[in-house]
Amino acid sequence: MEPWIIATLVIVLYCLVVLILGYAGWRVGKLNMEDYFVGGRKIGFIVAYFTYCATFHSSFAFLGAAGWIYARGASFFAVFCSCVFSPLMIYLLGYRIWLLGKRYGYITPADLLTDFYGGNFIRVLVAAVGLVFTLPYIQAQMMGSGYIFDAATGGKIPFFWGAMFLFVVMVAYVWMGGLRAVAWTDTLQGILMFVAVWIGGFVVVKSAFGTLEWGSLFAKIEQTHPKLLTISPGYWPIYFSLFISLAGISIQPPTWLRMYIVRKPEFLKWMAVTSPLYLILFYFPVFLVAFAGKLVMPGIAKPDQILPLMFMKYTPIWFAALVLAGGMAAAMSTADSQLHVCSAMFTRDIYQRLISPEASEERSVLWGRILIVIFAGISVLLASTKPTFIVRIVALSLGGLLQLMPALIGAIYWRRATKQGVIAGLIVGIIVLILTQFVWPAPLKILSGAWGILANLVVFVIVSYLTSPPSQETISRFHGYLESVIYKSNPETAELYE
Amino acid sequence: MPNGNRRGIWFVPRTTQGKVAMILWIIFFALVQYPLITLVAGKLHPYVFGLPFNFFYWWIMFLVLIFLEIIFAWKVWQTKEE
Repeated sequence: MEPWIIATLVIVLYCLVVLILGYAGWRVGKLNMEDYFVGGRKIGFIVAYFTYCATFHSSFAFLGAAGWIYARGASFFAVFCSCVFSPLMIYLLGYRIWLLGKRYGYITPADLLTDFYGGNFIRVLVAAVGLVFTLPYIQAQMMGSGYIFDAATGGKIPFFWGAMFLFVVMVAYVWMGGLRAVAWTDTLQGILMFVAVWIGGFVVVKSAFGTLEWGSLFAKIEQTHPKLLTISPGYWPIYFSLFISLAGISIQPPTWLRMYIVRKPEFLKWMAVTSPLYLILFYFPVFLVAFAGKLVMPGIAKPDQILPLMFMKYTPIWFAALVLAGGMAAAMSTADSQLHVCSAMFTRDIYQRLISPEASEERSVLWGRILIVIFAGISVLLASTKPTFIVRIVALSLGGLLQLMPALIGAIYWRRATKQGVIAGLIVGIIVLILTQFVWPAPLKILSGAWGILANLVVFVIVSYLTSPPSQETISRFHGYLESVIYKSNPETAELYE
Repeated sequence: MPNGNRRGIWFVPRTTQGKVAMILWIIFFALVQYPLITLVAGKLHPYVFGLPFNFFYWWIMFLVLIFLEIIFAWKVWQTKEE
C-alpha cells in the first residue's frame, strides 16, 4: 500500500473515533439552549481541564510554534508568559463569571455584559467583536489541517481538500452533540496531541541524530545558527507586547464559555494553576523537532510545515500519520470550540434576542446548528487565501478579542464602569488595533493588540468617570452578590460590609 | 446581601495572605520579563541538563512560577458556592 494511503487511513480512523464521541454526546444531551451551549453547567474537572487546554493549544502549537522556533528560535519563550498568565484569569475572572452565570443563567459573554451595562447595542457590539475576531482563528485551524494533509499525503490530498475534510468532520460532531461533544472530543484530542508530540518528538530526534541527547543538538545549533539560541535586547517590545496581545486568549469567547460550564467553581481554580504545566511542557519536544529541522532541512519556504515534514521523513509512515493525527487534533479541538461559540453568540445574542424572541428552545438550537455550517464554510473560504504565518492571524484575532477585557473587569470588579465607557473604549480599541496592524504595523515594535488595549483602557476609564455610574440596584445585583459569596464569610474581610 | 459599596481598591487583595501571594507572583513573573531577562537572554554557557543556560533558566523559572501558583491555590485562594 502506498504511504500516502496509509497516512490517510490512519487520520480517517482517528476522525471516526472523534465522530463516535460526538454521537455519544448527542445521545446524552437534551434539546435546549443551556444543554447544547453550556452542557447544562455539569462538566467535571477532567473534561473541563482538557477542553480548556486543547482549545488553548491550537494548530499554532503544533505547526505555528514549530515554524516560529525554526525561523526565530528562542524568542518563542515570549509565548510562555501567555501560557502562565492567561490561565490565571480562569480563576481571577472565571470564578466570578461562574457565580454570576449560574445565578442569572448566562450562556454567552454578551449575556453577562448586557445584564450589567444594559441596552441591546452592547449586546450586538460584543457579539460582533466576538464573531469577527473568532472567525480568523477558525481560519487558522483550517489552514493547519490543510497543511497537515498536504504534508502527510505528499500533496496527493492538497491543502484545500485537507481543510474541507476538517470542515466536514468537525461540523458533523459539533452539530450532533453541541458543547458536550466538543468537550468530550477535546479530551481525547488533548491527550492525543500531548502524547503524540512527546513520543514523536523524541523518535524524530533519535532517528535524525542517532541519539536522544539533546545537548548535542543544541551544541550544533550553537555552531551553525547561534542567533536562534539568544534573544537580542532590541526584541523586548515584541516580547512584552506579545504576552499582552495573547492575553486575549484568557477571555476569548470559547474560554469565557468554559467558565460557565463546570460543575463546581473549585475546578476553575485548579484548572488555572495546573493547565500551564500542560501548556508549556507541550513545547519542549516542539523545540527539539524545530531545531533538528533547522539542521537537516535548512531553508524551507514555509516554516509552518517543518514539523509534519520532519515526521514524514524520519519516522515510519503509520507513526508519522498518528502524530499528524495529533496535529489534526490540535486544530480540531480549537476550531470546534470556536465554531460552537460563534453559533452560541449568534443564536443567543442576535437570533433569540433581536430577530425571533418568541422562538422555542428547539428552534433556537436548530438555528445554532445551521450557523455552525455557515461559519465553518466561511472559515474554509478564508483559509483558502493561505497567509504565510499562522501566528500572525492568531495574534490579530486574540488582539481583537482582548478588547473585551475592560468591559468584563468593569462588570465584575470595578463599580464605576459605565456603558458609555465600554462602548467608547471598545470602538477606539478596535480602531487602534486595525491601524497598528495594517496601516502603521507595530509602532515602536509593540504589537497591535497591546496598542489596542492601551487605547481602550484609557478611553474606558476617562469616559466612565465622565458619565453617570450604574444604578445602585445593578451594583448590588453584581458586586453585592459577588461580595456576599466571596468575602462575607471570611472573618478578615466581613467587617468591610457590616 | 451587601450593597457592593465596599471600601478599598478593587484590584488589591483584601486578605494578608492574598496580598503576599500577589507580591510574590509579580516578583517571579518579573524574573522572566525585561529588563531582568536581558541578564540571561544571551547567556549560553554553562549548559545545564543539556540545555544552554538561558533555556534552562526560562524553563526552570516558568516551572517555579507554576509551582507557586499551585501553592496559592492550595493555601490562599478559596472558592465558595452560594
